[in-house]
Amino acid sequence: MNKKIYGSAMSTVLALSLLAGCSGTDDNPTTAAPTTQPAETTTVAEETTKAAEVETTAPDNTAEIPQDYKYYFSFDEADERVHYASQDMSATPIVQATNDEITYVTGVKGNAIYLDGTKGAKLDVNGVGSTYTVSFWVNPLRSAQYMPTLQYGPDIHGDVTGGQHYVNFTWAKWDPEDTSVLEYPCVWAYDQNDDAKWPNWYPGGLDDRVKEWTNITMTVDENELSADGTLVIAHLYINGEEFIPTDSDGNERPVQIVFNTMAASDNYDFLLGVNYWDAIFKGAFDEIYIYDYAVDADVAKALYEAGDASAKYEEPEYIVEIVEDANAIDTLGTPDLDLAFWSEFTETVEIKDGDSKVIKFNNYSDGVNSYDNYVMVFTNQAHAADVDPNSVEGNKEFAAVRADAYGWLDGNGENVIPESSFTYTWGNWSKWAQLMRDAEVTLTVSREGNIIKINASNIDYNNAEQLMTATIETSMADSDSCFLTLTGEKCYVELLSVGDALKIEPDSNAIDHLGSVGDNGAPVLGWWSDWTGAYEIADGETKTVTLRNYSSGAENWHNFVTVFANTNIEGHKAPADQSTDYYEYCVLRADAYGWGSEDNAHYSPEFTTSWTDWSAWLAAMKKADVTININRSGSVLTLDYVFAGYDGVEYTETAKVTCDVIDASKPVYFFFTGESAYIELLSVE
Amino acid sequence: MKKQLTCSLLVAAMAVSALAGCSGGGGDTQTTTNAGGSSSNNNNSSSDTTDLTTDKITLTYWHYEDETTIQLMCEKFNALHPNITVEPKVISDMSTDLSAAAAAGTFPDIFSGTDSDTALANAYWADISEYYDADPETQNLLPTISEYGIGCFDTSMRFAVPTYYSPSAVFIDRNVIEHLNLEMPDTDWTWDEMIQLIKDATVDDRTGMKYYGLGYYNRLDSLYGIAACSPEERAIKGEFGFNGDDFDLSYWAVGEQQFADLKVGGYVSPQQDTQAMEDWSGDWSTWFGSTGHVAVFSEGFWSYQNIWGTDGYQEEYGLDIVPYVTPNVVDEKEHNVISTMYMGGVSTSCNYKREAYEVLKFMSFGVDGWNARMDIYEDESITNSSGVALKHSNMPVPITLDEGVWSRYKALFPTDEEHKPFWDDYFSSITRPVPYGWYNIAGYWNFCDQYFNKIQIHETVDAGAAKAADYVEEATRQANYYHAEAMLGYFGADSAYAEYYGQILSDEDVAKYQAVVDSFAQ
Repeated sequence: MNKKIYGSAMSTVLALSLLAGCSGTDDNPTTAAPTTQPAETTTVAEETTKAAEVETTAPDNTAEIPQDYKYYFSFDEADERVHYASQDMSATPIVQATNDEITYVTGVKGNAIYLDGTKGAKLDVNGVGSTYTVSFWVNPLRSAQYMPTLQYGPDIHGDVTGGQHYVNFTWAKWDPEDTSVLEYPCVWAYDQNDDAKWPNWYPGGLDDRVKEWTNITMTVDENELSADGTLVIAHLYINGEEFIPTDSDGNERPVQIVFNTMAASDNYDFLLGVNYWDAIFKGAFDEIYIYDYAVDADVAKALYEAGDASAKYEEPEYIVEIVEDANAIDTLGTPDLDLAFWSEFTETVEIKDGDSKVIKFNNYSDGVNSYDNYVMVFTNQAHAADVDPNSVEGNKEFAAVRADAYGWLDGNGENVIPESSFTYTWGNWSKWAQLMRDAEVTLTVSREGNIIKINASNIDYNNAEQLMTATIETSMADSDSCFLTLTGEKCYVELLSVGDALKIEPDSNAIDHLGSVGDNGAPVLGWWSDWTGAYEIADGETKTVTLRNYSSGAENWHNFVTVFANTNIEGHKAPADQSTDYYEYCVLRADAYGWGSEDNAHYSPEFTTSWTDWSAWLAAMKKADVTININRSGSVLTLDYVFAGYDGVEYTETAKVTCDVIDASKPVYFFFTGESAYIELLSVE
Repeated sequence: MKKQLTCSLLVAAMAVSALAGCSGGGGDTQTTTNAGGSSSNNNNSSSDTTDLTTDKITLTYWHYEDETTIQLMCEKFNALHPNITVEPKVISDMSTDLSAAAAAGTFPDIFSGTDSDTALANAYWADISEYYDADPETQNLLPTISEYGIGCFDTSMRFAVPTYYSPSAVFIDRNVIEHLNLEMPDTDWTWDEMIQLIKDATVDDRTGMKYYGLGYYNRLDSLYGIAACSPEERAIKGEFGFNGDDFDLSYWAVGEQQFADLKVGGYVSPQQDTQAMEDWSGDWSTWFGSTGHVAVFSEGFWSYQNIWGTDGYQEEYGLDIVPYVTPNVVDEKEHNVISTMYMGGVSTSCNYKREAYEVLKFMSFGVDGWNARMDIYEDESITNSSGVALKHSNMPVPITLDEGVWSRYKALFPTDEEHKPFWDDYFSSITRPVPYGWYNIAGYWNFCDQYFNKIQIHETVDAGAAKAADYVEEATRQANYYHAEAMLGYFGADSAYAEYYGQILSDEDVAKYQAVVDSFAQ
């Protein structure tokens, strides 16, 4: 059953005009400018019909806008070439098109595509050649350093060529005359495989252009080169007028980009509001044109004049779409959200003294009251699902704890748990109630004597964490058992899993370890902050390493890393500090990624993995017993990994790296480091 | 970026005498009273400049201040010294700009920087002790400059002087305090009283926007560092418990943990440009200082000048902001204050060092220069390229103690009966600046870059994943190593400076620092 829930009116960001003031992170804040305030706007109905032959649909202003474009996106109606795109750091590729229905708002001409800050868009576009024009309208609701608007390129993330290659229209604080101002549009291009050229251009004197429509047109002719011939001069038009600032000496400072940014490729990305690294855009795009030639100034003006820059739109409210999860092991209530308080319960989970349990579930609620959510009840008796604890003989209720950081003790609603027992990260209850309409919840619950500790991580529909913690002193005696059951009110709960919390248990047999265990039980290890000692591997030799890897599970690279170098390394000291001759042949992460020195000049990798589901691999690596057979043969280093995962599944990987600076006469050593991991080296043979 | 790295530990070290060996102050512990500078609005030079060249020369001054302000300052200097033209330039990136200038033979005669390691490692700044020591105006500067050898970098020479001073500040919104039925604290408050106010002012009635006790730009551990202990316990004169010889991060750790506990406990407001801010205020771009829902602010002083102090701002947002003295942990009445303090010096390549010193002085601490600045700041019709009156564009705080200058300076801030007492107390409390570490401690930036920042201490402790105390031993060891390595590298026999001055460090100092480096390597 699918059910859409229209939440109560969301407070729109448009209604507030609080001043964007002091910079939070910079040395030199300046006087801030008030944000703009669009007037009343109209939300466009979400239902649209697909238009066939969209490319042949010409805009109205045919007299002025050339119709020989290679691509045109009006965003007036459904277009099969337009996809929302997620940014999932644990996925490969990180940016992936989704099948989510497109939301439209009022644009500068007809409708515009709306991006809600949790996902961008990917358009079916391939490169059109070395001479081209891109034109688009953008109306952001927020800005942030390096947040992308339009970013395109033959291999943005370098997944295919090993070198990142793109143009990005972004925000940055690059104006040396005022480094506190976030300006738009800044143009940042990169070609990692062409001498790592990374030209970055700022307009100078502009602001962030948030909450207003801006038309950007950029023309590129690769015959027009910078003075030294290493870059391409581009012409940038802002709202129909060419924009060429001058430097302090009065010299023109045009946009410069790298070559071949519109070269066709099998991995071409044309992305709106999302990339592989940065915060996701929120706002709207409209009227995108791509030509395979450089339009002139008149056309650039026509592209601007064809749109109504004064058009307004209102941020669409979030619509909760409940898609029942077939994998749910239990549910409370129904998608109608009519669950009456204390009417349904999950099967109990025992929380033994000293143990922790992790319970995952989806929480949907009506967003009306903060208490219209899940509730945790701690009792002394086990019971089956849908059994009222109070009906169980000998039942003692130690505590009932609501999602909204409120609860009571001993089954007595008057015996309220002290506020000081709770912490929570949200600061606006109205908003929080809305956010909890669609939340993925992970509870980590532990017992220490009569103390119950709760860590409730509620990931809302903006992919933001609403965290509540509770440390509750109960009347529980040491001899009492403690069971947890879930109930709720005006919500629908889908119980997904119940398991033991991952616990890092140092192995006394380990010959070395990296990292430490944080107070919250998570591994703590900063990148390039600690290292094992090195082991030499001779030409033709194979060494077998066993280690245990605990990771945060948050990112693919939060695991152990193997480093090959030319000098012996003493453990726990910065490698480069130990020898002036130190040279890294390569650094190989566990997640089939790596690099070499000198911009990979002597590094040629091949990775193969047995898995395609990176989320599953990442979860497994939270605690994995790892065996690595490391072979050195000439200039080739081969690592065969076996990851015996936390999930009981075995994953394998082979990394075969050619480092052409290695020959039989040169010593090769390997050692381990990592990030946000706890790594126990068990054996090297 | 650099700000995020700071975790300081300093102390009210009023009894500490001038840095042994530094020729800057010779043990003259200054008071806040005028010791001889001009006391009126005039343009009389305070020191003898008859020895300046009469040649018509041009000097270049590179800096990080407001471009219009410094352009005007250059013109005013030229009015005093018609034969000396000063050409200013705003630095874009210190390391890049300077290295490019050095390669091109266009190195500036005087420059002010946002860190000192770049200048010291490359021997960019010349020893100006000869001029500084002979200048009577240097006897009437903020006393920590001489007491702590600010600009001497723990050597017997003076390579730099503070050119731009902006202290950290605690501000309180009186309207929030009133709304929450709380009492305004005494300006002579203690650290614990500040923490308690932050907690008391965090009020959540479960309707709408919560009131937060604290909004921060400067982390509290930076402030705590200057308030942590008595000088008798440890004579701290820099971040991370630096006392001129070595570091001790145990003091820093207390403040770090306290701040992290406030964040974890929900007493600290969301930051601008975050989803949390949008969830709280309704707008991603809101600054907490404009919400009227935050009681205490740990800010740079410029937040008042640049934002709160602009016409109509507080009225528009219903604010009543007053400054507070950074409180002490121990019962010391004289306050050190952690500060942004750009350092500037005369280049080793400069051919007119005496004249360049005069420019440097004019731009930084000189009374003539400060009176020239006041002429500029008092005239709000003078604006920069953004149309902002120059007093609202990162106006620094006087480095001289000259009463005339201070009188004019204070007049730029609220003088009404209700607010003046707060400002008077605040201004009295900011005469003892202690620069953030990267301005005045050799190797500090390398320590942050190579160690402290890499292991994400702030993030880890703030997230409750570890305790600050866990890092003290190793971080102290690392900090001492980076400092010792830098001192040898900058001032040892093989340093870039050796070309000009030979080995600057004494043999005893070399042995001391070498022992630290050797010990670290073992």
